[in-house]
Amino acid sequence: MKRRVVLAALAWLAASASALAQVQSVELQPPRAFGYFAGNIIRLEAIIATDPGTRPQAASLPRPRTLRPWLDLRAVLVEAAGPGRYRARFDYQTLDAPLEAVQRSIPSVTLTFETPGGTASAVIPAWAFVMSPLRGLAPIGEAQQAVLMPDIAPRLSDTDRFRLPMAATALGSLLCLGLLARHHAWWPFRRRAARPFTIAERQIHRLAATPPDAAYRASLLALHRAFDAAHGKRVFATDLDGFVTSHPHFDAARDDIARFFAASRRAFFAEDISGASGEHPIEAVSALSHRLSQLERAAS
Amino acid sequence: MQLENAPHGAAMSLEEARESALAFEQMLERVIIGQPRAIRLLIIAVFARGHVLLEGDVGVGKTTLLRAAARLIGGAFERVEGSVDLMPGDLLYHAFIDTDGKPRVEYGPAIRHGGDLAIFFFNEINRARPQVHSLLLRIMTERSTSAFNTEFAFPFLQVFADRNRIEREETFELPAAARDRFFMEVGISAPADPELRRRLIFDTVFHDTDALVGTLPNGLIDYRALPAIARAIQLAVRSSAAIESYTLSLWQGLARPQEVGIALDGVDMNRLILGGASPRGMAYLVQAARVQAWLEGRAMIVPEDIQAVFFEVIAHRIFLDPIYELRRDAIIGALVPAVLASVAAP
Repeated sequence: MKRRVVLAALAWLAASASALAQVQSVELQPPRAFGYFAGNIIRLEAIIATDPGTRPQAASLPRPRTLRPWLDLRAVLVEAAGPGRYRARFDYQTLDAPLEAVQRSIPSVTLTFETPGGTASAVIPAWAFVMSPLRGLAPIGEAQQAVLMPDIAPRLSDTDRFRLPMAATALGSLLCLGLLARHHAWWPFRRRAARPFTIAERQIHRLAATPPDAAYRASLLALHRAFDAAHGKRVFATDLDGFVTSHPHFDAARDDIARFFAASRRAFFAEDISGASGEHPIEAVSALSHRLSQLERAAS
Repeated sequence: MQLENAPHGAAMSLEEARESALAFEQMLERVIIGQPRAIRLLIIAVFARGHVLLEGDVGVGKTTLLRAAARLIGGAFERVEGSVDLMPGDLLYHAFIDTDGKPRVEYGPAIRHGGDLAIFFFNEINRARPQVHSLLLRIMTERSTSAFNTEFAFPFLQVFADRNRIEREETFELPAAARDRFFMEVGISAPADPELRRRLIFDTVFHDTDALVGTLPNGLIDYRALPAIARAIQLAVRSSAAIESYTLSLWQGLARPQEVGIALDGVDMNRLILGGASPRGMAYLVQAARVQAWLEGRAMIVPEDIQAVFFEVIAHRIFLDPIYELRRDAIIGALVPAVLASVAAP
């Protein structure tokens, strides 16, 4: 009889329990409870067993926020983990390193579930852990050897085998540079502007020692060759206009040049050297060459 | 200088002859516009007594130029058209049936005027057969021919010939020896100046060439005086040692252009020239230069005189390797100025 009474009481208890609380159990699955430093993420999980028809109320989930000066809630997730079971996951992050190892506690959280008859609560209990300070190592004795080893000496690569290729490459680069310089007429391939009249002036100066007629002929010839060189082709008396047009800087000496050509024509083609040198003496030829070399330098 | 033995009697100084020559040139320039160079070369040929080969397109005024020159010189002018069936006899006699039905033979164009023939124009000479060429060349060199068992002399004759350069069918190219006998080969082309072209087309003066030539005075220079004047010019104008060496250098430069540093595009200079100018050609060059100097009023030749006549006197005497002959005009057109530009004088 007594046994029947106990069974009946248990049945009533069970019946009343099913009518009042549909959350059957909360099982905390904590990580290790020690060895945490500032900045660590602590993932706290709880398996919540419920009766069928019970669903977590989304609005009851805590929002990620700062909970304590040393603790942030970073993320909350409740997901189904089988029939009537839910897995609640909380990611906390520790902040604020303590000066010495202390026990700290993550506060409990209450989750609300919707049931067919109303709501039910599941309390995830507070969880305590030990948080450690950040501190430099102060090794002693043999341990120091293991921690502070001298730097490994850098290994010296063997560069001898690169020497020949490098010399060849450098030589090749120099050669290419030389070719480029030649192509663009950079130094030392840049030629000075030709100075034919300056050369002619010097030649005429050197004629002082020769006999007068020969010197006169040679001075005329020297100036003729200078005109040819300056114009790039042979210059004759009738080409004077073309010469001055293409080398306008000689225009200032145009009349003198015309006199020179007239004298040269008389000397060479009329074979009248004395007449020509009387009309246009070697000094005048020399003066003209000096004048032309000045104009030539001024223009370049 | 007084000219001796002037056949027409009146003595004429070289200076007067020069003034007539310049007047001659001015009158020709009035009638033949835009051709001052061809006119100057024609006058040089007239006063050097040289025969001229004219080259030019159709209708550019070659015949008008020659007719105008013939009128100014006086004397007779004859013109013959070259054709494949023209035979030498056609130049010498003309056979026909007269009004009485009897066969008759009369003198042909070459001898019709006897010694008065001053200008003989042979049109399209390369259409005529080589037999005709040889007769003409004899008339040119010897200024005489024989026909009807008689010697005909043409002391005042000057031959102008025209070469058709467009067609090649039914033509007989003049052999090198024949071309060498021409004093000059003068190219005549239509003037490039638009104003002159407009005048040639629209100005009615140039439409009637007979009337145009008729405006010129007949016999401005007596053709019978020309040989004496020509001789006197050659004696009066002197050549210096410098000009002689310049001429020789030009000759050398033509024969071996690579030695004076001439290089033409796409031409192997070592094999380009088969023969430079002949000695006869170089002698003609100096004769022409003397006349040019005389016309310019100088008693000496200067390099510019040589240059003024160089192309026309020398270009047709240069013989090229056959593989370059087809490009002759372009090659000679580049070679001759290059030689002139590279040979120094003095």
